Amino acid sequence: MTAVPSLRFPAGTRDAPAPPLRAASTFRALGTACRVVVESPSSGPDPGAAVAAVRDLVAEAQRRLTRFAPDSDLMLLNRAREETVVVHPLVLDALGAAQAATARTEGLLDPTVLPALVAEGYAESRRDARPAGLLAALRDAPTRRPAAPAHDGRWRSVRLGRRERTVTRPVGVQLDVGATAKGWLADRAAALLHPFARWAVDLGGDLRVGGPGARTRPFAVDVAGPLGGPVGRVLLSGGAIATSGIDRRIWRRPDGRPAHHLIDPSSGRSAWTGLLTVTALAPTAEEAEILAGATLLRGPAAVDALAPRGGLAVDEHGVVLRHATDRAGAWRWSA
Amino acid sequence: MHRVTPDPPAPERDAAPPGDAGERARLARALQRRRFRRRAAIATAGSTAATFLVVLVLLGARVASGDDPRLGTVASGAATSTTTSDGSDATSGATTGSEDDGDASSATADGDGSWDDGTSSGDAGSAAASAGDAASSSPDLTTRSS
Repeated sequence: MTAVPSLRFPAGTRDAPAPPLRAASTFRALGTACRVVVESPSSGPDPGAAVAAVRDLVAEAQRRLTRFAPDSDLMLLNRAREETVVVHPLVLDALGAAQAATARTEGLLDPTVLPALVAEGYAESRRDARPAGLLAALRDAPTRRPAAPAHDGRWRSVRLGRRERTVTRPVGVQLDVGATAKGWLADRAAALLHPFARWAVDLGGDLRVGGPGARTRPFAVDVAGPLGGPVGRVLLSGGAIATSGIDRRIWRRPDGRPAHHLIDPSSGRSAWTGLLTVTALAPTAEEAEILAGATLLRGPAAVDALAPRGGLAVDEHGVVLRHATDRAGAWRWSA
Repeated sequence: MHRVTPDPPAPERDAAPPGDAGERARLARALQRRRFRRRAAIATAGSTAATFLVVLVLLGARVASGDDPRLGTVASGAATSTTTSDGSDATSGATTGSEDDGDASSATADGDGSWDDGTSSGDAGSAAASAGDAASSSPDLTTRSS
């Protein structure tokens, strides 16, 4: 029988078990909405301190990695005139995650596409910008085709020195970790929460959950569809889920052409592949984010890549392509 | 619920014969009425117990199926709260600055009205959580593109 940790007894009841501790926080960071939930037995560690630690971590990562602040570590690196630059460990770690994602996707999730992203119209934050109409954008978008790696393979020119904490790249190469930062950071936050009974970290829709309590009382996670409303619900008792899509950060360029933030490295323009959103499950948020982003860039023919761990994709016809395999037993679709 | 108490026997006073035989007949009828009432009481209690068991089995099946009893709405705004074992509540902290402007603002403990925030005492927190458990349409979290 599932325990109900919030059960409380009237004051004065003898032998009543002490209620659990719970802390939660919702806040804006990384240009999106974030949430942390931590539960602990009454005799366990303080969940409030853990939530505060996660928020501090997210704040520091944002401060160092944002491309919208000229004095962030990332932008100082991008402006540096030296080929080799010593960086903060957190920056090095984030770049390492981005580089690993690039290698795993053979250049599809490319951290060097920042100039192309800016040229497409994403030079300023779009946190408060209203998205362009998705259906109209689809009508005016170019021919659909799968994205592909950049022909020049410039991402291979970036080298990280783990011991020296250095980044070496040709001067002028601009780096951005936007494609992988939230998943990477959710995993970093998760490392702070392992002692707790039940916890969840949600960084703009990239989620990681865990704790023995989540196995008996899983988190109900809705998968938001591209046109409003959920397209599925997952009961997640461990691991991660992430969604990538073109429905939110989408705009019209001055010439009227629609654009969004997922860049096809081979063309340097927004990728129109026929998929609108992709949701992937994986043991870590970093893996889930990579899988979701790469699947979306590869298009409908690549949706089967979700099968080993589960996930779903929504195409331009509104068709939900679902893979519900759950070999690890960490999640299941809710009816 | 269907009626389980039977109608009483047909009127009998006027039909009672005189003398001892009549007295015995009245006693027999009184005994019969008591038997009717006892059977009706037993039937009512049994029906109530059966209904309770059915509800219990259905609830048990739902929990066993893994449905998450925790429910609520995805919150907006900024807040941090902590519910403690002694019923006290609320640890608030400063929000992080946004990705864009780096501004920071203080958060309140009752600002977002989410399923586990906004409590002012342990009992209130319990009530909120219990209310959340009762509804099954709201998710704990939402994954979306961002």
